[in-house]
Amino acid sequence: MHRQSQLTRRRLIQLGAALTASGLIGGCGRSSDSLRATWWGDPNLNDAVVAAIDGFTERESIAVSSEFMPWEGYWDKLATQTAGKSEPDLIMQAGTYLPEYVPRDVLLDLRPSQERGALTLDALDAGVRDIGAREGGLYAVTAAINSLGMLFNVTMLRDAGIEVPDHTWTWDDLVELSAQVREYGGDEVYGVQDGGSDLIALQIWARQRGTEMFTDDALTITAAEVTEWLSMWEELRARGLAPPGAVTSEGADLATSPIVQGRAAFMIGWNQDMAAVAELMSDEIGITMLPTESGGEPGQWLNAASMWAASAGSERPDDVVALIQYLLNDDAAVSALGTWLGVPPLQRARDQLRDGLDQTSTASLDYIELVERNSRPLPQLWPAGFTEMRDLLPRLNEDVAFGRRSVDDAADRFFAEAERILT
Amino acid sequence: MTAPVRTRSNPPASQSSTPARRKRRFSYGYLFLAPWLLGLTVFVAGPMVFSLYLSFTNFDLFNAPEWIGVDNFVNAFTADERFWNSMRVTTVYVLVSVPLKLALALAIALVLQRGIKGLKTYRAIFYLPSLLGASVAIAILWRQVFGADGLFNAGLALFGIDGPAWIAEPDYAIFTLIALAVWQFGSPMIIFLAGLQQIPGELYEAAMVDGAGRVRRFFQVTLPLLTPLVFFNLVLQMIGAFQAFTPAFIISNGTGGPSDSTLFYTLYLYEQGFTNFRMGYASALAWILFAVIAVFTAVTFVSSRYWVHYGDEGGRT
Repeated sequence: MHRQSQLTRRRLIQLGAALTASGLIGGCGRSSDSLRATWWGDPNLNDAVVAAIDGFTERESIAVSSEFMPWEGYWDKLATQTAGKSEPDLIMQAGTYLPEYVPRDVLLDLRPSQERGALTLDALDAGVRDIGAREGGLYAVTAAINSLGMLFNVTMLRDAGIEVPDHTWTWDDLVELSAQVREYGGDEVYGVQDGGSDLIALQIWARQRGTEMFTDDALTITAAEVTEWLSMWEELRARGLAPPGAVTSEGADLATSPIVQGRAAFMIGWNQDMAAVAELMSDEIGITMLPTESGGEPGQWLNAASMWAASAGSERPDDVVALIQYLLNDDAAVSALGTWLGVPPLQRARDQLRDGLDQTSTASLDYIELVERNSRPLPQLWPAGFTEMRDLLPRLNEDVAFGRRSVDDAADRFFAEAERILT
Repeated sequence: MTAPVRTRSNPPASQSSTPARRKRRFSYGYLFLAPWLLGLTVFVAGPMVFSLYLSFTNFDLFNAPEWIGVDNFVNAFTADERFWNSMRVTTVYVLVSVPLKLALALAIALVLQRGIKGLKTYRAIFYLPSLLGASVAIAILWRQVFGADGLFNAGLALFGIDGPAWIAEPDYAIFTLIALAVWQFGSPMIIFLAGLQQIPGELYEAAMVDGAGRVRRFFQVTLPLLTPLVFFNLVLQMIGAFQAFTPAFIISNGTGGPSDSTLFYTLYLYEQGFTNFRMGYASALAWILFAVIAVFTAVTFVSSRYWVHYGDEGGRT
């Protein structure tokens, strides 16, 4: 009997070894005849980027091989590739992950190329241009911009005779409008999806009150603010204006989310989520800025939806920089990419595209320009460990929603864990 | 192939047992084993030794590991709430799912063993979940079945019961994963079936002559003779359950939620290593799991002396 178990295990190990070996042989070594590029996204986005890159290949006679993955799994793979020193030459980066990669010296400093004129970023707003700047260098350039906002179901609000908010609304207005939605919709309909889990929303909320969440890579938001934030959402849940924990937890995917199910009128989300939500339902979806603090400061900023970065280990840094330059500035690349990556960071590119866009993309573009007029750039990008902090708040908010923690306990925990994460 | 046979049947020829020849035969053995040994050292032993080293370091995947002694272990045991939570979740999962799965496997095996018509078809059908069970598709299906408006609640509604969203409630979510594990009873079932067919019919006849009823026969004949297989399945399933990853990863979208109620140990380990870039800590967690599994397995082995009966033991206990 034991013989049998060993045989099985041995065969498994052999199989595993064989698979690993074939994977290694397939994945190892930098090929020198073509550049390697990687990004995340859906197949449509992939087609658009490949089309743009084909234009580059044709013009410069530089072959590019590419890999793309959904967001889930992308970062695991990139981390593994980078650890094994086999990361692609061109890497799509995100503002949230950049702080993890820059201190580890795995990304190429693009500043010298910019100074040499190989990379032109003059047409970018300073706030957008500097998102990739860290430690005196420039490690990524913004490929597309986005901003957090409040998505809402226009049809539902209109049917209920509820006023559609504009960007001057306040957090009190949100509570008031949610109560009206609840009254109109009945027990199964909530006003707003639970947004207590969103660390970036909390960051914006704190900025409106004059507090930066991070200063010089240290956490500078106060315990009172975190407590107030969690209490606000707990109260919304208690009043039935935000869904209870189980509804939120079950609606973690966009397709099953309360707003798509017609069970909530408001949802904190990114402007690119608007198209995704609109596609999943027949109702009209709108977006405006997050509620404000009356008399407060603008809390939002133009954020990088995605960025282009180059591997520090690339054997052909000049070619990679040329590719980034092409993707960002060339008219042919702009029209090939359209708004698949998100809203282009260049005003010129936006003007070039505007006429051909559908209603949702136009609304998304309008929204970004609205944010542009009413925002304040972040003084610095997030510190390393931000992605982990971003997983921490949802856990705590969820614990509160399920009655497993008090608000005070959750706030204490937030700071205790943050200390561990950020050091 | 014929050479050894001849050697054995003939009186030993003097040259066949010279040290040189024996040595050569010895090395042929290793030659044939070489591919496997190579795999073992390069892909199993090597990484294991390296991960043991990493467990004593601070390693972020990119920079060189930095030796920190036993800090990772101390941290896990004294300062990490989620470590203990994941340990608790996993232990509950193992202690509930494994016995249920084995009981179900044995029950179905007993039914199938009766030589009903179309046995092979049934056997294949019951084995099917084991083939599908670890897949992503099934985990997604499970989300649908145990959702608030899922199939399971639709069934309950027939009896007038208004079920909660099973996968979304921290108090119940783990049980949907246990149900998923139990549903994959196919491989222990096949093993039990094989075991049942080995039990000599005379034993049952003798028991019947002695007036043993059906229940008595099961507990006095079938079960004792099956204990080696129960033992085998128990050890295998227990180790497998401790290492379960995919179902929790898919069903909770990789978070271990709601409220960390499905945070399997392996999920937490993966999150620490690949999401939070704490590979040193993740390696330490892996070795703690290894130790836990070793202890559980050792206890099972030691206890087996008292409840596993091998047919060749001679005397009855």
